[in-house]
Amino acid sequence: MREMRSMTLRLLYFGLVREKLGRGEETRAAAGGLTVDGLLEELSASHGLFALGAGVLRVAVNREYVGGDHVLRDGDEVAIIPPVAGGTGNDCDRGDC
Amino acid sequence: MFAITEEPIDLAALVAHVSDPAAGAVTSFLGTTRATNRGRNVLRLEYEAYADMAVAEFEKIAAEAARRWELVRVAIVHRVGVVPLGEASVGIAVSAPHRRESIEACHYCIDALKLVAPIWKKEHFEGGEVWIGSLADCDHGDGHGHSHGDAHGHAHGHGPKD
Repeated sequence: MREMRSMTLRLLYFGLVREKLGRGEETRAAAGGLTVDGLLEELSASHGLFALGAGVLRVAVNREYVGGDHVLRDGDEVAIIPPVAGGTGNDCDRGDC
Repeated sequence: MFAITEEPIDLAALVAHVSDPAAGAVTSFLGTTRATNRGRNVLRLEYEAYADMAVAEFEKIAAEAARRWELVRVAIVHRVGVVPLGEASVGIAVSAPHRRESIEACHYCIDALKLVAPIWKKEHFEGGEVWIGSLADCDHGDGHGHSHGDAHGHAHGHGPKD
């Protein structure tokens, strides 16, 4: 059975992700009850997001950082946050790369 | 004053914003663009922000600083777009009744900003460009042989790099 795509999300992309995808935002239909991790899995399949290093991507919903089990709601603004300029979520600060 | 701006940062305006007769100290910080990074000769830096969220994060950082120390006022401004070498990309001013609080709180604010602010930095250097913090940033390295693209995709590592 095909799942109902009952929500509309506004996705925002920044930095490396924006550049690789060639756009800064898009709207996307999603199934009710979808979690942040579920969305990242969908985007991995449709956009190749994991190739960008999904392990270091953070997500903000309506301008607040959220965890992977956060449940999305219709109309949410979902920002995919690659590693920020200040330096977290990568190996570089260890000084060995 | 919490803002993202495309204009050069005006430190005097930040200091004026936090100045108050109740304050006995003002500490200011400017983060400036450096000419070299991990052995690369940097030509210019380009910053991008999720502006609405960045400003909200600045407000949260200031609120937390005010909770930890007795502060009078905090101002945080980050520049976006191309920032030429030697110019400020971020400016912070903190006022407090006494010097220790203002210095410690200012230090806290810049460290917190670097961890959480949704701001990205693209470094244009001699021979290429790289998003700071990305896997490619590691791989560009400084000649220590990390250019093999192995799995760096796990999250750890903290703290300011510049």
